[in-house]
Amino acid sequence: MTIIASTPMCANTPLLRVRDLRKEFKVRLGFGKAGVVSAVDGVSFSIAAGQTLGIVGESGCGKSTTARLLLGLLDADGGTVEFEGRELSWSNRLVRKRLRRSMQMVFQDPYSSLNPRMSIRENISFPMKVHGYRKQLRAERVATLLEQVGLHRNHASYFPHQLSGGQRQRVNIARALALEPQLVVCDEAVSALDKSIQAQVLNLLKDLQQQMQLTYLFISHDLNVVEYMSDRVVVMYLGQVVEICSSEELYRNPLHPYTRALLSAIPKLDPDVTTVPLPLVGEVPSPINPPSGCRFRTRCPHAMTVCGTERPALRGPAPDHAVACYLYEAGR
Amino acid sequence: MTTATTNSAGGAPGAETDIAAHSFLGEVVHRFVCQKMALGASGILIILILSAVAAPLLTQHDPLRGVVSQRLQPVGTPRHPLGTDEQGRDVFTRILYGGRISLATGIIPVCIAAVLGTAIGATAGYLGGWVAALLMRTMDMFYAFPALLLAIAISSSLGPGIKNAIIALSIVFIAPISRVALVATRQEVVKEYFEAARLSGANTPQLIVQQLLVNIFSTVFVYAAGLIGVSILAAAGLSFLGLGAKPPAPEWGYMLNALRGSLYVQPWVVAVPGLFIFAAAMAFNLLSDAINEALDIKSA
Repeated sequence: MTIIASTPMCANTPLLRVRDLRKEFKVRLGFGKAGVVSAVDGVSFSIAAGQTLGIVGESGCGKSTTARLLLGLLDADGGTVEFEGRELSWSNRLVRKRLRRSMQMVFQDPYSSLNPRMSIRENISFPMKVHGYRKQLRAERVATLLEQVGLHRNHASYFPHQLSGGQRQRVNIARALALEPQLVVCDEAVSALDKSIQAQVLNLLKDLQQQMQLTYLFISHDLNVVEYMSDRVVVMYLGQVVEICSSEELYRNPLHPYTRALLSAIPKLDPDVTTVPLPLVGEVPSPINPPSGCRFRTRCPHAMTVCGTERPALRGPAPDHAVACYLYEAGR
Repeated sequence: MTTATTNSAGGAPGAETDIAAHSFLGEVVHRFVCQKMALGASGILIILILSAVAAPLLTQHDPLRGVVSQRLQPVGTPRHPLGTDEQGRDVFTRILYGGRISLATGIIPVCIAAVLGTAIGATAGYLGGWVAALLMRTMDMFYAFPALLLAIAISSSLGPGIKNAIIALSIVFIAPISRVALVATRQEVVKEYFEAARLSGANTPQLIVQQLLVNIFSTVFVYAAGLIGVSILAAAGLSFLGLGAKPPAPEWGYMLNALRGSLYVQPWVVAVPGLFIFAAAMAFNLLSDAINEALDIKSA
């Protein structure tokens, strides 16, 4: 049983609450043998309205799968998602269509996430067309959105291949905002861009959040980007949440050994500060056969016998800082 | 090639005069006419189609009745520029009138098969699972027969005549086109823009029609255009067996087979219908390549 130690920043119900989300994929391992990839295993967190929650972790830790479960692009094998206090059920088609207006996503690859045979205008207005906006309204909104994301309204008649990566990602953002959603999931939204463009797009996202009162779920493997964008951060490893806290706290006082190792690996700008990366032994274990108990124990420098018995619960030494590690269990 | 003079650094609004709006159609047409091959191929096809349509205006001979004493005149005879066939009919006239039949039996079955085949293949590719299995195994049943035999079988059960030949050929071509559409669909639905479109709340028909078809269109189009030449030849085969155009209809394939026996007497006259079939099929292939190039705006 996991306890959600992260409390929402405001007293109202959080905009999004995820409880114990689980997802498994079946894989074929060879002749007749089947394996199960535990991609997301008991993930829980919540996001308050207007906040940005960052999810950080290595490739393959289940961040993107979690996002897709949230948005209903994949069916969950267990757990619940509550949006504005009401539990989501993606099976009802009408409910699903209405929910699409509230939750949207900005994808990672700026090129393949736009239909190459449709103009920018058609790409952005597709969601509006689906929801029955009239042609005049669509054209106006496309122009408004393009200007909001820092492009020119005449870009509407261009095609994706005629724009640069940064411009395409702006178009992606414009499309995500077309239906005026409340929650926007940014799945590695800047990872495919040059550093200088990353900064511009991140600042654009921040500006838009203020202007439109958006809530972000910001997924990235880049700790610096996550720290810049997020109010609170969730650290994931091999499909499980290992730590949840505010982003300042994450940098000031990381608790979980995995988080510490991640942070110690970031190169620092100050040449006088020598960083000694904390060694992580071995490779990430295969998600088909994850280690028993705490999944990180095979690489953890502080592993104890108890770590192999049962999975540590996510609870906090502090009300808004939760960690899943036996080092911080009661008594230590 | 395009007038995209926007600055590339993340798109801060630059000088408004730099960013001009332009149209998709204008760009495609421009790219099309810049290819010399395209103009040549379109020229040939326009000539063939117009001459077939305007046949009565271009010649006064009767395509069906000939003067037997004038049979097998060589190419270049004063009143018969392309010679006469084995029954003394003017070959040029028969080519013109035959163009109507041959081009029709080339284009129409492919168009029908393209529409139906794409519908089947795209649905199977998108839905997957048992629907795809059901559809594609049904298509496999048609694949089991060699195309021409299948056309003959269908045609003979329907009876002779051009309309039945068109139906038979349409059925024959649906299966290969559906397979092309299936593969193209499978490649497109895993791309991120498709996921984004699904995220917009679109239902399956909207996704297939508005997002998918434009992307598989050129693949299917090029393949289908290549089938037009095959269709003309298949129609010729059917006519030879008495299942398509009935003699004395001046269908090009039928003419080719009827003149076959006179190959050693007037080789050039015998070659004429074959040359026209070749020209039509070649022109369609080049045209489809050119249109594919013009539509493929990505490679600007």
